[in-house]
Amino acid sequence: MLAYTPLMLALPLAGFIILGAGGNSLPKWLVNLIGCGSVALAFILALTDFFAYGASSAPYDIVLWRWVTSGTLEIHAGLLVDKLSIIMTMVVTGVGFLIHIYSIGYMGEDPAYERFFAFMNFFITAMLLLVLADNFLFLLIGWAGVGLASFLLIGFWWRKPSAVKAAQKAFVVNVIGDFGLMIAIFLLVGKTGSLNFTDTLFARAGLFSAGDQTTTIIAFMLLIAAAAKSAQLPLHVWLPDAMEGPTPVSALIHAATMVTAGVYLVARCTAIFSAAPYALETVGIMGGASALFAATAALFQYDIKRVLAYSTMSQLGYMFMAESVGANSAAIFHLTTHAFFKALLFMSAGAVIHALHGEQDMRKMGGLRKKLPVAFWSFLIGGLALAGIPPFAGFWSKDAILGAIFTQAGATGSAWEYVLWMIGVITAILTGLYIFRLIFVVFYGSYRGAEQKSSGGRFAIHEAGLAMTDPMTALLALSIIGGFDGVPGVDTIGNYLQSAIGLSPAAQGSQLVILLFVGVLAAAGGIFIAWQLYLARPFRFTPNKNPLYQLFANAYYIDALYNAVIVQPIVQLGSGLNTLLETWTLDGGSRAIAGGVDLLSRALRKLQSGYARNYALSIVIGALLIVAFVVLNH
Amino acid sequence: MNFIYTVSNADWGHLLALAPLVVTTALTMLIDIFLPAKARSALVAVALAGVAGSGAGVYMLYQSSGNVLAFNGMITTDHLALFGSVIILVTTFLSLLIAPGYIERQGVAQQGEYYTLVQLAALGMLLLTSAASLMTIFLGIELLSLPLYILCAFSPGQTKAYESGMKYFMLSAFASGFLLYGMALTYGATGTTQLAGIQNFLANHQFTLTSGFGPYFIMGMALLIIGLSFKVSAIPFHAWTPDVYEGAPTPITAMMASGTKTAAFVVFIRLFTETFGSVTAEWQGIIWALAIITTIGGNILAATQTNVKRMLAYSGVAHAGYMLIGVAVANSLGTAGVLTYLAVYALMNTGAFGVLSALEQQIDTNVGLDDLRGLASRSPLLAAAMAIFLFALAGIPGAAGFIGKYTVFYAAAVSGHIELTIIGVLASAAGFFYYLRVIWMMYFVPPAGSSAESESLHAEIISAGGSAAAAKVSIATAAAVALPVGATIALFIAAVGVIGFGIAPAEIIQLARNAAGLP
Repeated sequence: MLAYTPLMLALPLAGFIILGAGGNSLPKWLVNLIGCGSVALAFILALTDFFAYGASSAPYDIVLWRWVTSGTLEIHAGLLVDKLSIIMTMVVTGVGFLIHIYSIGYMGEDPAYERFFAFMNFFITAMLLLVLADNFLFLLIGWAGVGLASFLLIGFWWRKPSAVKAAQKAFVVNVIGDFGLMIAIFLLVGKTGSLNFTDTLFARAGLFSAGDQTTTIIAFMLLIAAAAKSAQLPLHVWLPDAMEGPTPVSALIHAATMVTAGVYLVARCTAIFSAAPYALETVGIMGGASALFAATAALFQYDIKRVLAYSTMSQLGYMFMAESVGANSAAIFHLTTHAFFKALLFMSAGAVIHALHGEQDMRKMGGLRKKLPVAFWSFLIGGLALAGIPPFAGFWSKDAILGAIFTQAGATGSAWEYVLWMIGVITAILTGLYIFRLIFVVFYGSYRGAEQKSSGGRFAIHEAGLAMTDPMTALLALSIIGGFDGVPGVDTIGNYLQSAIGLSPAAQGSQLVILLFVGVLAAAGGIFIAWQLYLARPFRFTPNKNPLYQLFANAYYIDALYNAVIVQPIVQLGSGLNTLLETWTLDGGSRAIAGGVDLLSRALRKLQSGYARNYALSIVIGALLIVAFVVLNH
Repeated sequence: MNFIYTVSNADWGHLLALAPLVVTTALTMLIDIFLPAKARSALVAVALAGVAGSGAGVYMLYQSSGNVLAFNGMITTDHLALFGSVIILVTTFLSLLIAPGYIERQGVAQQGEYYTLVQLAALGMLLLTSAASLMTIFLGIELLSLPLYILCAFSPGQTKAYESGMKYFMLSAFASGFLLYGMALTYGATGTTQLAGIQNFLANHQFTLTSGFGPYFIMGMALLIIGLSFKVSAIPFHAWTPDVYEGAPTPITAMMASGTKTAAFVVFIRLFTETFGSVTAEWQGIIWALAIITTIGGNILAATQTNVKRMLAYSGVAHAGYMLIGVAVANSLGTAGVLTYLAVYALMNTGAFGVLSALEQQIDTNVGLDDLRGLASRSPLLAAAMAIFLFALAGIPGAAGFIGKYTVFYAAAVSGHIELTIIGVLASAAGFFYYLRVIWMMYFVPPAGSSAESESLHAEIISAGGSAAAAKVSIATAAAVALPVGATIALFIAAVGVIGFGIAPAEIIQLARNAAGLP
């Protein structure tokens, strides 16, 4: 059955081609069928793979065709099925399918409906290629592909200038990541002579040895790629802006799947990272800093989706923290539960936004609990899972990460790892605070927005249709039960992944109980503060001059900093160069003379005006430089 | 000195790739006299037949074994020459397919001359790839340049075309001076014009900058670099490129951009990587610097363009930079990379210019970025073809252009020039933007003033100012693009080739490796 894995990619690809080429002439039901059906079938194939692969531990390599050969280096168009890629494909296609269904409702009235599904199918294809590739080059193709899909979907509503800006920003940062990955690839091929996972990552021990400089540089380059894709400091700036895209896009790409590609990459390249201690330590620093940074930045946002965006960044930080102490399976576990509850949170945020006709500002919401019960319950369960309240999914996975860090800190006696654990606990408090602030402000109290009237004059806020609420219910169930496969002591998912990415350190006995207790206490503490601040007594959104508040609300002014230090200088340099090279030096002002009457004489006069002479001059200068070089070379 | 050389029968066999085009060139001129003016567009068939015949000749030479040198070492038909010839023939073929519709709109009456000159230029390029002596190299360069000077200025009544032709002529003559002087000095230093002889001489003689033949040889080599850098549009010898490309008829631009580049790069490889292979230290640094400047500069300059043809011209400069990386590596792996790059570049670049030529039929001037607005809704297939070519040129992983970059960067990485790999990757990552901007224009910005302007749910955010600007519409821009049969076939071939190379590049890479003398 594993041999059918290529179909998993082929089906969404076919969906993309059909919808992209002729989607606007198809009836809507057929667009839905192709768009969602292809992903549903891909999910079934992922499930089949799961059962067919069973308890095996040998990676199953599917060679499709010979792709690049250079001497001894032979790279195939190939897919690799192992337990890590199976988990990833199930998340991508499973959550992806639910979000496709949700999109039927959410995007129902959009004139570019079929194009949306075409792009979504393209994204699923690229993402599956990313997680199934059996070599770094194909991984890179998927990597660039998901970046492209993200760019297209963030900018889907291209009439909003802010959406176009956000898409460009996401693209710029993603290209920085692609650059890192490409350099890593060329260094890797220079070092090992191969790019296949089998010859590099799964190869003999000692191929990557600690202290080897090239290995360290490769790891850092991979880290740049991972940070850009997973929105970690300092390459996070694109993710909050990416919320300009339609909400299903935020749920699928910017919460559940694409942003986790960095986590996948680090887990996949364990062999390289474990031989590069500095890089691995940096993974932890980056993850910890991002977790704390994003959690504080989420505290005072007004835009409902930006809160969730910073939350995603923060949770991804947890995953990188786990990976830095070798707890890969805990990271992947959190990746799966996070996909469930964060997709759920985004979907319910979408339901709220949909009901309020595009309103995303929390200051104009409130009291929606009764009017939008499904959205409310989804938000509540999702919020509890995110905060880490037992028995919901996020509790188990976050606990697995914190337990792993604490245990590892005890084993190595590293002070830094205790600090990392502390950061994890503080972030857990903040998480409970910001998500329940959102829930209390949006669903409790009284409605603060403008009255929404339909043409009939009735109050128009109403629950979304079944296409939207059904997938929410499914994810709601997964957010409740999705963590039970990682209950401490049993740790089904950790044991399952052991053969692929190693076993995570885990707390035992009384230590475990204490850590669980601390985790619950942190989450509950955060929720309690939120209750005190936003529910127990009446509150109003008022401008706050407190510098710390300003710092958090403006996400530490990093955007402004980048704009001043990087973006503006480049823009200035670009236009300056253009003026210098195109208009001034080379044109020599001769375009201005182009007002002559006779065409031929005008052409000739132009040529005599020093225009071509300038060109010849640049040749002469180049020639002099080259001659000077040859002489000085001796 | 007495010199007697008798041409043997075997020598003539080596002209199999050139002979068919020579015959059809003569035929084109002859038939032109007897054809009525209206039927002259049929001459394209003669030219196409000549290209196909030459293609068959290349295939026969590829099959045959034995001595590759002919005419006393003036001509070679080794795999390097044949690989380059195929690229040139494919480019010429596509350019010829695009031409009829284009020159009809331009109102060119002298179609016979047009097709004759195109074939002569192609002959020059073929001769250049087969040149095994300084004499034939110069002959080839002049044979390809002279027809191109005229062809650049071929659109009647267009100032830009005259400007293009004159400028190309003047600057090219200037650069040819460097080249010729370089050849003379090299000949003076080594005593032979045959590349094999020069290679042999260099391997057996020591020299320094100040003693013996050293100064002549080193100066000659530097001048050769300058002359060839002009032909491949390396910075700072590139300045002619955008003006000439912009003014020339677009099918000619397409042919120059990849045909001339291919021929010049084959000579670059033959002269430097092969002939001067034993004195790498003398020239590697120069090419190394040229590669870096050209790669970075080309991308920066391309990013600032709003005219799509100029953008593609500067992008051609940037691509020359990537290819120069393969030359700077100075080994067979680099040669294989350059050849692979040239092959995919010919298809994607000719395809992109082909789309532009189809658009120019409609817009009547050079294509600006704004003219591409909403092309996807007007002519979805044309837009899709352009998107394929641009993605390939950008080198997005998975597209054909990526294969070219990959092979060149790979060669640099494993030959100890990781700095060139890093600069190349960085520059091409930055280069994504200007290609993607065109795709964005085609797909996401509606044609000015069309009904699509108000179709979206989110139209309310478009201010009144936006629609006022859009009111300034030309009906022509909003209409679908009429695509002549020839151009359709050409674009189809190019698109299929680009997609095919992206998906299954193993064969082309293997052929390029063979041409570079690798297993």
